[in-house]
Amino acid sequence: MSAFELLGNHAPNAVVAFGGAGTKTAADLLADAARISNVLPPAYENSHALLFFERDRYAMAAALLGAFDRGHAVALPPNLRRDSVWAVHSRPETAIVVHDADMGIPINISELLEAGGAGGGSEPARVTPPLVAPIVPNPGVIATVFTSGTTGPMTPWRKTSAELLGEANALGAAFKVKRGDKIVGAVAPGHIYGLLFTILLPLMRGAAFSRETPYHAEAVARCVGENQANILVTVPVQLRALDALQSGSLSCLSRVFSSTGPLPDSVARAFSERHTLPITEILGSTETGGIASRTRQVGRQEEWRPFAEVEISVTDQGRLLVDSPFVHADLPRPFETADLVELHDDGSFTHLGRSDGIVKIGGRRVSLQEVEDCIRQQPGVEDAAVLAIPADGGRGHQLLAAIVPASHDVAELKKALLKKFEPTCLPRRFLCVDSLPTEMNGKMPRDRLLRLFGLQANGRPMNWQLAWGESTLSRGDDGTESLERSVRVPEDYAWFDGHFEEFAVLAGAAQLKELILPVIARAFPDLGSVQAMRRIKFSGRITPGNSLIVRVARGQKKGRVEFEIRNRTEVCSRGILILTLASSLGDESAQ
Amino acid sequence: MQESLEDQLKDLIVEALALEDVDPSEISTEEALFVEGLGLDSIDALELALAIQEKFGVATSPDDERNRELFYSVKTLADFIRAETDVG
Repeated sequence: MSAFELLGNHAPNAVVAFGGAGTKTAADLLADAARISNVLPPAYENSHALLFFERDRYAMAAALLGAFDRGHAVALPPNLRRDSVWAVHSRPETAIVVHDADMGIPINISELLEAGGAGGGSEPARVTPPLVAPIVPNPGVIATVFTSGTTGPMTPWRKTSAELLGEANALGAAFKVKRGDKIVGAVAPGHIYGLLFTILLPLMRGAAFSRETPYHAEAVARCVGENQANILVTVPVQLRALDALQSGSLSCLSRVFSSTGPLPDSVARAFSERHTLPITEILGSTETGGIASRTRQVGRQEEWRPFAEVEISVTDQGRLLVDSPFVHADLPRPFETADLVELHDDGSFTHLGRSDGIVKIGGRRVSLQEVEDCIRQQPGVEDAAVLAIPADGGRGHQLLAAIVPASHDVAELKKALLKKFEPTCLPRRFLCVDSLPTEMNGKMPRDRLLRLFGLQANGRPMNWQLAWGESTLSRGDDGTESLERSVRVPEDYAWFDGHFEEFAVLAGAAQLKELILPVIARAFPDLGSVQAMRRIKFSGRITPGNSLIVRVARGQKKGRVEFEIRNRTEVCSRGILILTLASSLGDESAQ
Repeated sequence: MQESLEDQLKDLIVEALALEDVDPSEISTEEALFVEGLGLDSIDALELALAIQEKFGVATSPDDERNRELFYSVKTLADFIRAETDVG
């Protein structure tokens, strides 16, 4: 069998598609594909049929085979936004649009397929003879997959039969997908990952796919359960959502694929614990094809392993170099990716992140520069900065945008951004400020930008909380009252931030406001505000992680409080504060 | 006094989705939560479903068409939770 043929492993009555819309066999698919082929315009050089399917994966498969039969390649827009579809539609190589949406333009496949067969009646007869399996697409370009989110509006990636079908076949062999396997596709079939795993791979390996693309947890569980599917093709966000399901609700599955973005450890662990299922993660991109996979399961941390056909190496800067039959023909070999990796002696590698300004949000590539440029272009915006921080759950990252001037209307800005970007790619937080923290050299340090949003350099919220311990109140024979309270100053305590670049110490004002006055308020609730300070000495440094004792004491003069802060080895600061007596309205309290 | 289910949902939306610049009182009960209204996205829908399951023990529908209707607004969500739990 050739590596580049479709439906070569299905008997005519073998199931190719299942789900709520009904079961379809290989014979059905060949007949429907013929019907579509029959109504397509003739092919010309490099002609493409644009496929746009929101509902039925089977209909998309029929359209794909029909287009191949007619001699067209297929064009897949980067997403299902109408403006993206129109942009691809207006390209000269697009000969026709085939879709299952309410677009009011030909060819609406639902009408075509309902009219042609399946509709129920024995008439009219099927005048179009079915295609004959196996289907062998022409050896040249069979698909153009568009990506968005990098520089420029959309990038077309032409894929030859050898690249696309070769990859689907290699994936099928690597994961031993076989006749009779049932694959639930929870990712859109127009995405390269969905196309490979939920249409091409099953059509090549004799397996079947779900017609619908379930989204919410219960919908995924129903699609898997009702059809006794054994393979689920999904994405990190959905794996997190599947945590809502009871254990056992995915028990017929034997393999779960995840791709399009990093799968957080917490999500992988929660899922595999609840459902006792490993997750097979796939690393790849539209331009490089599949690169590597790894298995995530409880108690085992596996590294990325390149597929058998893929050769990897690493640049001096730690960037991953990839060579394989799936790398796009126009790209230099080996192709230098923006992925930062650490290679291991056994051929596996650890993924350390990306080296460009591209982040993945919910599986979608977003260029920080592109979002920032778009914001800058909006009327009234004087300056803008966009940055990404890691996000919990399956989102991967989230964006923050700081905008000058402080009076800018964020609602209008969001509307403008939504015209160009997917909702998931919009910044989660907009902050309008008078100026951005630009330094003399024109650079805007990331940590100072983060500070605007109240975040630390690691993206976590600034920590304003001290770890207070026990307090001991005591009264001396001479009437002296004192209170000692232990406290730990966390390493990431926000007040350390920014005083001295290299050396974090807690400033005197912060000691007074955050350490001394709270202890005074606890010890002597009758005291009010500070009137004067006497003999203040800072004799030792308070540094990150210090454990301290704060002591406050007063004698006969009720408004006069002595304080002392000491760490394990020395007194850090001491002095006298004169405070008002809140309980007596006069100011005789001080003396 | 017990907070209304609608108000509890607004708190949950802000908390579960980490909407740091949104006050629960700013969320409209009737308006669309997703994209045009509050501007939540498809990932938020999954996160919110998870949070609702955790807090109210109410699972999403196995029918995604119906889920789209249920997740339209705070009001549609509250009606759904009331129907599922006979509470409030």
